[in-house]
Amino acid sequence: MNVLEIKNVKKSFNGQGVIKDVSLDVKEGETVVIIGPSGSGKSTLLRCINNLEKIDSGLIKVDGLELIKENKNGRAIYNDKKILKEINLKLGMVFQDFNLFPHFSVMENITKSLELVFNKTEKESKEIAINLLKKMDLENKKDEYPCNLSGGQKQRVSIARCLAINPKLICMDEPTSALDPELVGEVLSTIKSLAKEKKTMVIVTHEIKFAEEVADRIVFMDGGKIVEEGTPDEIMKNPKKERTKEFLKRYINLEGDNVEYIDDEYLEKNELPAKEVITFFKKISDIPRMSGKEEKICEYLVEFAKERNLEYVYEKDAKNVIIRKETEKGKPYIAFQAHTDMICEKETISKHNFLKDPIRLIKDGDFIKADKTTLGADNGLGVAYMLALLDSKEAMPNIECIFTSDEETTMIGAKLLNADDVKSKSIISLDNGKEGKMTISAANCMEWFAEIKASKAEENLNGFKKYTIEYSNFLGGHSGGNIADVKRGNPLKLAGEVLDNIDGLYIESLSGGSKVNVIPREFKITFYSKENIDMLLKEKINKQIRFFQEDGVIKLIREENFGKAKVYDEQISKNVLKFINSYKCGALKFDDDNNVILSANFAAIREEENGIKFEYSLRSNNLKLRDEYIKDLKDNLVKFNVVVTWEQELKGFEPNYESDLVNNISRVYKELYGKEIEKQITQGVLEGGFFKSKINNLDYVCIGANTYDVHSPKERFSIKSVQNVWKLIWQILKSYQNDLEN
Amino acid sequence: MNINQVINVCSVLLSGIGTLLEIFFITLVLAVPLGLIVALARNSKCRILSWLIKNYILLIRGTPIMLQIIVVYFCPYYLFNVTYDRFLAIIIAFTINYAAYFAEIFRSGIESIPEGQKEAAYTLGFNKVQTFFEIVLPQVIKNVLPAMSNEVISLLKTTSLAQIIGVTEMFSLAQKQASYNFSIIPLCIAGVYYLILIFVVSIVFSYFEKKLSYYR
Repeated sequence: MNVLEIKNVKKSFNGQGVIKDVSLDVKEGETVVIIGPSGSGKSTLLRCINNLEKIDSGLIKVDGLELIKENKNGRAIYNDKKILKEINLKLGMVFQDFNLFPHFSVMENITKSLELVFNKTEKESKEIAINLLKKMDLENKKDEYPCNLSGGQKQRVSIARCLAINPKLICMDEPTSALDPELVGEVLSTIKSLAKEKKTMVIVTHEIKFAEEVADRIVFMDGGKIVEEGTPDEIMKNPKKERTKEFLKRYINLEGDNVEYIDDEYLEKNELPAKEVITFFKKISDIPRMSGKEEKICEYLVEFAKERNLEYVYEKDAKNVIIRKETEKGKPYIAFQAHTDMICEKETISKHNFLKDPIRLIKDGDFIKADKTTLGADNGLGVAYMLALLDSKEAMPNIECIFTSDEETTMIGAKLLNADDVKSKSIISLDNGKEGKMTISAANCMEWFAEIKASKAEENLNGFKKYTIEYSNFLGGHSGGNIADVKRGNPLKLAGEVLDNIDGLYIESLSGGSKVNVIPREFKITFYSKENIDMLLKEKINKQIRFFQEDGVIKLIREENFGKAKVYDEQISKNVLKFINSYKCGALKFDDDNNVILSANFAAIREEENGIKFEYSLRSNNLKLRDEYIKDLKDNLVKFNVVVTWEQELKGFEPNYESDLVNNISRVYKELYGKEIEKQITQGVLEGGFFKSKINNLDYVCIGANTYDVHSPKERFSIKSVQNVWKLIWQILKSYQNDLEN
Repeated sequence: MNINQVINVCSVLLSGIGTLLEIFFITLVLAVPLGLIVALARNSKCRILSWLIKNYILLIRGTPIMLQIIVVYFCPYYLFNVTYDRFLAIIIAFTINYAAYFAEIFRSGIESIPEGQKEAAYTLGFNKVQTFFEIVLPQVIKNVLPAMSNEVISLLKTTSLAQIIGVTEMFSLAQKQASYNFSIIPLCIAGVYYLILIFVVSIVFSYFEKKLSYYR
C-alpha cells in the first residue's frame, strides 16, 4: 500500500518554479532517499508533504487521505482543517537543525506532544519516551536540556521525538547537514536501524554513501524535477541520465581507479600473477557452493576429471570428490585437500542470491574481493590451486586432490570421508589464511548442552530490591580464533563474577549468548535481593566498565519491588551462579611458544519452560589436559545438579614438530624465502582431526595464502600472496619428485 | 535645613510612595498583557487591524506622555462635558502608553523565535494556542526580560508626571517641600527613594533572568 502519493506537484516562489511537476509514490515499509544538488527542490518537496509550504497545483495523499485536491482549473485545494490535522498526526518530521524546544528537557521534548496532543497520561508518555531514549542510547540524558547535548545527540533526541508520535511516514530533511563530521556517523546508524525496522521514510540527504546503504529506492532530483529514480544499485552503478552521472561523480570515486571487474574477457586480455589459479578461482566462483549445497560444484569437479581422463571418486553421500593424477605407476601419492563450500554473507543492500548467482569478482589493486558478498576464498583458493595443479602439463609426482564438503557448518565431508578412498599418507591442506604459517595441530573441541531443571514460582518479595545487570555490545568472536583476546570478555562470566558469593538472590530471568562456538556478546540477568547490595555491585561493575569501556556496555538498574514476583527459588539461583562461576573460561593453558592449547567458552544461557539451559565448549590440543579439565567439570555438574543433554566431539590432532611433511615443507620454504615457516597450533577445529582419526600414521599440515575478513562481505585475498603460495606448492612437489628420483 | 526638618521631609515623602507604587503596579498589571495582545494584533493577518495597531504605536511613541495624560483627562470634559477620577485617568494614560512600548518589545521577542520552533510544534500536532503558550511564549519571556527591565524602570520614574493633572505622588510632594523649605534637599531625598526602588526592581529582574538561564 502506498503511504504517500504525490502527483504532478508544482510550486513556485515569486514566479520561480521550485518544484516542476513531481510525482512520487512511497510504499509502506519503504525507505526512499532523495538526493540532488542544492536548490533542486528536494527539501521544499519534503516541506510541502508536511504542509509547511503550500503548493500551487497537484495532488498529495498521505495514507489514503487527501492533503490536497485539485479543482477544475488545476489549482491546489487544501482539504478541510480536520483532515489536515489527521494527516499531520500521521507524519513525522526530522529537521536539519533539530528544532528541539530549548526550554524543555530532553524528556519533555518527547512527552509534551504525547500529553497535549495525544492525550496520554504523564506516566504513559514517560514510558514511551524512556523506551525511545534507551533505543537511542540517550537514557542518561533524559533530564538534560538540549543546549547541553552534542549535535549528534540533539538529532537523535529529535528522531526520538518524531518516533514518539508513531508516525506512518517519517520525513527527514538533511538530518546530518548541521553536524560536525565526526558526529554524522551516530545519527546515520540510528537512521539505518530504523530502515531495518521497516519504518516508512523519505530522507533528503547529501550523504551519498549512506543513501546507497539505507535506501530501497533513490530519487535523484535536479532543477525541481525528478531526473531519475531506481534501486541504489541502478542509480549508483549504472545511472542512465547524464545529469545523474555528473552529479554522482563529485561524490563517489568508484573506490579508486584500480577497481576492475574480473570476468572472462579481463582474464583473456590481462596478465596476472598465478593466473592459472585465479582463472580456476573465477570458474568456481561462477558455481554456487553454499555450505550444504555442494552438489553443483561436485558435478563440476567430476566433469573436470572426466574431461582430463583423471581417476576420481565421488562420495555422493558425503559430497566429497577425490581426483588423482598418476604420473608414475606404483609411486606414492602426495595429497592436497580443500573444502568446496563457503560461508554466504552479504551486505544488506546486496540482492545477491547465493543459490544461483555467480560471485562477482573485483580486483582492487593487489586484492581480489567480491561485490558486496563473501568471496569464498575460504576455501575456494584451495580448490583453485588443486584444479590448476591437476590441469597443469608440467612434470610432477603423483598427486591426489581431496575436495571435501561443508566444512563451515557441520564438517560432514570430513566426518563421512571413506578412508579407503584416500591413497596418500601425507595430506597438505590448503585451508590456512596466513602465508608463512603452517598449522601442525588443531584443537579437539568438545561441545555440550546442559540444563538445570527448574521452574519459576510466585514468591512474596515485597520490599525487595530488583536488580538488572545488562551487558551488551561486547566484541564476541569465534571461540577458537579469538579466545585468547582478554579484551573481548565474556558477559556471562562477568555477570557471574559480580554475583559471586552473594547470598539470598532470587533470579527472575537470565539470558545471553548465541551459538556454542561463539563468544557471547551480551547477557542480561534480573534478580531480587532483600538486602540493598548497590555498593557491592557497583564496585565490581565499575572495575569491569573501566576495563571494557571501549567496546562493551554494562548497565545496572535498581528498582523497588512491591508485592509478588515469579522467580527461581534461592537454591536454584545459587546453583546457577555457582555453576557459571565454577566453569573456567577463556584461554587456560599455553605451550612454550605461547600458543593456547586449552581454552573454554561459556557460550549461552537460555531459559526454557522446564529449566535453564547452558551451552559451553572446550578446546584443546592436548588430550591429557582436556581429560583433567573434564574430570573437574563433571564433579561440578554433579555438585550443582546440572545434567548434560547433548554433547559432541570434534576431533583434533596433537602437534608433531618433526614429521616428514613438516620437515620437508619447512626446508623448502626456507630455501624459497630465506626464512623459517612458522609452525602454528590452532584452537580452531580442522578437518585434519577427522582424517587423522581415520587414517593411521597420516601426516597432515595446513598452509595457504593471506586472506582477510573471511566470513564477511569484506573478504579478500592478496594476489601476490597467492602467487607466493603457488610457488611454494610447486617447490614442495619438485622436492618430492627429486626424492623419488634419487 | 536642620536634621529635624530633614527627617520630617523624609516621612512626608514616604507617604507619597504609596500612590507611586499604586500607579506603578496597576499600570504594569494592565499594560503587560495588553502589550502582548497588541503585539499579536500587529502581526495579525487581518490587515486593517495591523494597520490600526501600527498607527496607534506611531501616535503613542510620537507624542509626549505629558500631552497624552492631559488629553485622556480633559478630552471627555471638552467633548461630552463629563469629568472623572484623576487617578483613573492616569492609569488609563499610562496603560495606553506603556502597552505600546511593551508591544514593540514583545514583537521583537516573538520575531526572534526561529520559525523552525513553530514548524516542529506543528509537525508534532500542537495547535496554534498550544504552540503559542507552550513553545513560543516561554522563550519570548526569556528573550525580552532585559529590554523589559529598562521599560519598567522608566515607568517607575515616569509616575512623577501624575502631578500634571493634580494626582499627588512622591515627587510632587518633594517639589512642594522644596519650595516650602527653600531647599533642594527634598528633591535629593526623592532621588534617593527612586534609586532604592529601582535597585529593588533591578534585583527582581536579575532574579528572573537567572532563573531562566537554565537553557540557552
